[in-house]
Amino acid sequence: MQSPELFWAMRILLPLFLGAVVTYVIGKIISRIKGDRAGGVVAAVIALVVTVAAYILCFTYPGAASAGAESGIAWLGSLKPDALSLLMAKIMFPLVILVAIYSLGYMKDDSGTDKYYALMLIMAGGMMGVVGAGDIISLYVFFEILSISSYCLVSFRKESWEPIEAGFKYVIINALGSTVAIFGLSLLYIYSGSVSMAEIAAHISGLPDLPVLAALALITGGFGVKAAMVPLHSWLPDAHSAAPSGISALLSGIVIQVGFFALLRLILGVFPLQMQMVGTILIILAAVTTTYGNFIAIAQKDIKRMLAYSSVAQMGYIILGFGVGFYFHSADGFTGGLFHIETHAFMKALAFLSVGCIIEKTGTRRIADLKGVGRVMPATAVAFTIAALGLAGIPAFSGFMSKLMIYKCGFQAGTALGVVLSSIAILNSIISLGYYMPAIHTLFSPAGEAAAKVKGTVSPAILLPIVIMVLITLVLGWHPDLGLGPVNAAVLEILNIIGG
Amino acid sequence: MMNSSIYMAQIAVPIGGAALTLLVGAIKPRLRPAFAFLVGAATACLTIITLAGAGSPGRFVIPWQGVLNEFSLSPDGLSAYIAAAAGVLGCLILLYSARYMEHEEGLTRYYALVLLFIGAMIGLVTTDNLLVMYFFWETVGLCSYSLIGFNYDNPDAAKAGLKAFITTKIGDVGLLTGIMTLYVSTGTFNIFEIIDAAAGGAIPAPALSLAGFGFLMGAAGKSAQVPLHVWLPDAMEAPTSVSALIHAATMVNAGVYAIARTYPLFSEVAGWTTAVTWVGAITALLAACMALYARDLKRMLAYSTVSQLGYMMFGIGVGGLLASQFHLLSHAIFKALLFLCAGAVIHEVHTRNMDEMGGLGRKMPVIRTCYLIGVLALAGVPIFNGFWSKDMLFASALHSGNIVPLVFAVATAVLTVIYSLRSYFRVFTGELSAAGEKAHQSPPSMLLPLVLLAVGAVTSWLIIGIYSATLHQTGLIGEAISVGHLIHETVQSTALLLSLLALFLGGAVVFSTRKAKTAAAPSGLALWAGKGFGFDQFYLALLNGAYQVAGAVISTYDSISNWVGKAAIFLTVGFGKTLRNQNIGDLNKNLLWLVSGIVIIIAIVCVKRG
Repeated sequence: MQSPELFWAMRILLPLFLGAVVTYVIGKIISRIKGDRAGGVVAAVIALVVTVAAYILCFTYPGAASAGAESGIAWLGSLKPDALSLLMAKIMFPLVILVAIYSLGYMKDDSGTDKYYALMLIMAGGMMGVVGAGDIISLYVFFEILSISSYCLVSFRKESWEPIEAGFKYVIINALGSTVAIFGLSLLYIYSGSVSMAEIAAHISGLPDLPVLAALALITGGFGVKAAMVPLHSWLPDAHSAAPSGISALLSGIVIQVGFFALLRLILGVFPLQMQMVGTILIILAAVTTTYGNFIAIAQKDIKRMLAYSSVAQMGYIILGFGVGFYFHSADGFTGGLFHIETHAFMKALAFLSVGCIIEKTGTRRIADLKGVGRVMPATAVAFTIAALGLAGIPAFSGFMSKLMIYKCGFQAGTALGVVLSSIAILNSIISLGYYMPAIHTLFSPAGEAAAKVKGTVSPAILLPIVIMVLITLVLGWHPDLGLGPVNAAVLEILNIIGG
Repeated sequence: MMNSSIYMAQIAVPIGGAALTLLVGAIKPRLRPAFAFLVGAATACLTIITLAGAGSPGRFVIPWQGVLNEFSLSPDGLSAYIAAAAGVLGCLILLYSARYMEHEEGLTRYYALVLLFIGAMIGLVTTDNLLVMYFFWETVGLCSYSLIGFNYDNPDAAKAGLKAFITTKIGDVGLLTGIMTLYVSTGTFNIFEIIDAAAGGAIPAPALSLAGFGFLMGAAGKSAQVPLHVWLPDAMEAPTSVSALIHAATMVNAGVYAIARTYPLFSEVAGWTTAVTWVGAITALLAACMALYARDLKRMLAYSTVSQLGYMMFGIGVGGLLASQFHLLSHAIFKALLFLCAGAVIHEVHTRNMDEMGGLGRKMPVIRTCYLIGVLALAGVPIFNGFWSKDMLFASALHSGNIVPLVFAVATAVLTVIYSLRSYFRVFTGELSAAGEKAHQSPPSMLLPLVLLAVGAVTSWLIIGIYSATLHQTGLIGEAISVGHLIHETVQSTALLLSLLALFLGGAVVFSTRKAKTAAAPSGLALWAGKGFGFDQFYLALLNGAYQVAGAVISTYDSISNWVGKAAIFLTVGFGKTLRNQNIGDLNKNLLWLVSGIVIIIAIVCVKRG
């Protein structure tokens, strides 16, 4: 019987990293022989085959029942995948697949796309490593793999200055975060003498308070940078808006969530006893993050920056779900937070992909210049509208369902704090209308210069992922149960750990 | 009890029709109006059939595990009549639109949205699941937003849509808070189960109070009550057919409906009924003042709608559930009539300013008669439907002893008589204006709905017997009353004196000032009322202030973080440059670094060992 560790290593990580090498080598060879464009297409196809295969393999996950089956390979001890990891895999793979299809159309005029798809696979591998990690070193290492590959992808269009600067900021600020995080992680190692999360957790109650608290603070701060919690978010708007739109979709849709996930994994795996305190920290950070993100998004003139700040705000919602979950010890909070990761991934990716398509056709990112684009590109603009309404939490779109669960958790707590938190969350979704609606409004207002520039139709490779994401957003908005299966399994896992 | 799948059908037919309209629009655009009308007519029939079983409703349920619990419909007396109003008025307005909208672009969008709206409105009132209601609540809001901005080439229209959407969303914060609070206390979204649970004391008082005022806030947004009424006058940028359907006859009633529906639940909450009464009374009076000074015909009607919705709110607050709901039905009919007449007039004279109209009665005699009937019903002249329901409202207030709000309501009635009669004289009598020179009588397909509605405005009060019996059967009111009973009660009650007093005072003002040709330039209070009592300016100032403060905070933080970031980059780059100077490829230097690194590591290891 196969153990979950072996499964994760052989069927998830190995295909991705090996696939990255194969993608690059074959892509490079083909582009030498047949030219750049052919190389890119071949690389994309290989990357797609790899991710689709790995995605299908996700469904053969052996489950916790077979845990303890000896693999006999020592290194596998550093992995410890569970239902939470599986949930992230099930969100990430479809997203990567859709973005890869989208990039086939979107990046067709770029050079060196063989590297692009290989980097994308490395990024996916990094994420899967982080979510499946069982010790603090592999967690850190996989996170660095993720950071480096995403840094390269942000600056992929290196012919203009903006992506370079954004990538530079990204790398510096994230390196700072990593430093702080590894400092916290080393404190844990120094005092417990082990890198395995399980062993640290076993010893943690016997350790002196001060270093444990310091470690918790440093780790929260360090991974807080990666999860773009305010006030540690300043790198995000630059990076997410300068990156090619497909990459923006991945960054906003899943990468920052993985940043939070790493923090969550450490909180759950290492500090299982201070739930209320963790909850308090998360609630405060979440309230600030959501409110700040929403307000600053209103002031944005660049549509991609607006979406980037909205990611900050939405991250706040996710964190709020977990915060109230920990604070009130309530399964609903975790369900809401995890389900919001799922719905947000597709809504935000949809928003970025449709906006990317609009930007490509019009050549501008200024919201004010996008007047009337909705009339010449109706399908894309309607897709953006659906994404924006979903993000704002309007019923009948998936975002409402996940936000509803977060609101519910606050009300359910029955305390004044819970009601206040839920009210803040609901109010925030109104504030967010303050930027989504004017953007929609501009797209459909009388035609301007940019609309006149639009020529030709959108390629099917771009349209297909957009249509699929629209369907996901609508279906989950009416029938959330379809997406709740893996979420519920993951929530059980969390409750198992914190003893609920 | 009838086959409950009909409940689903009356939602599914218009919504499915909306989807098919897109198809029809793609294949044979010419057939869109006819197709939409057929769907509307089918819906109207279904809603009328449902009325028969409304006394003892069946329940249509689709199990829906998870968050929503279940998708369930059970129209009772309260909802079946509102659903029927939506279905029948929707059908008439689709007929009217065929000619009224024929020269517009984007008709596929228009018909699809109107049908979607009808379906969602019926769903909103017939479901007993609060969360499903909220779904439909937002859907009608989206339809309203899109239809207000239908003519999106006009920046005013687009802005008005946005304003409507966001203002009502502010109310929705309260509604959603209310729904969630109720759900959390009782574990169900089913309103009837919640009412039962509350009767058993399952909901703690603070939670019930929070929910009650949350619902009131939601209702104030949707039903345009002060202070959230500001969106409705601007919403008049919509095509007039849409104004008639959504912003007069149906959607704006949703808030009143929600309050009536939850009345048994919240009536014991301290201060709730008082709040509902006062919100209604103040809205009624303020909006009537604003209507008095409106020059734009549609804006005047919009203020009038706000004012009448205030009446309905007031009616629920004083405990007159039947009176309030009856006024809702009367108002739906006569206000739709007034709007459609206004639409026909505006269609011919191409202006909405009443000063530029005049003397149109000779050119459009049918419209004139219909408008007059609507005005008489609105003013509450005896035997028109508005008279009976308004009188019932006054009687309820007297009965419950709410004297001060009643004074507000009577004052409103006086003002209503003044502005409504005046508008009639200004538009249809006097000298023919320049704009009216080319006016024609409207085509029959536009006149037919008007005539039907005019007949309704005269006779609809005759259904009071069946209506009150249905409400009684569903347990919402104590006893049913028959038509004879209604006449008897009305003639004997003190309230009749109040109604007549209002009519007399209003009439006196209108007829005594009618000859004064040059109206005095509005000043002071009048000017202020004409500007909507400054609500808009206040909100703008508030928003502006909030925006400035937020902007200042954000820019301060951003400049700090930017500075920190720059410093970090500067230090890093500086350090990097320093390092680069050490690493310029000089082999000796490189070796020196390497050796010193090794020495340091060895030193550390030694110390550890030691």
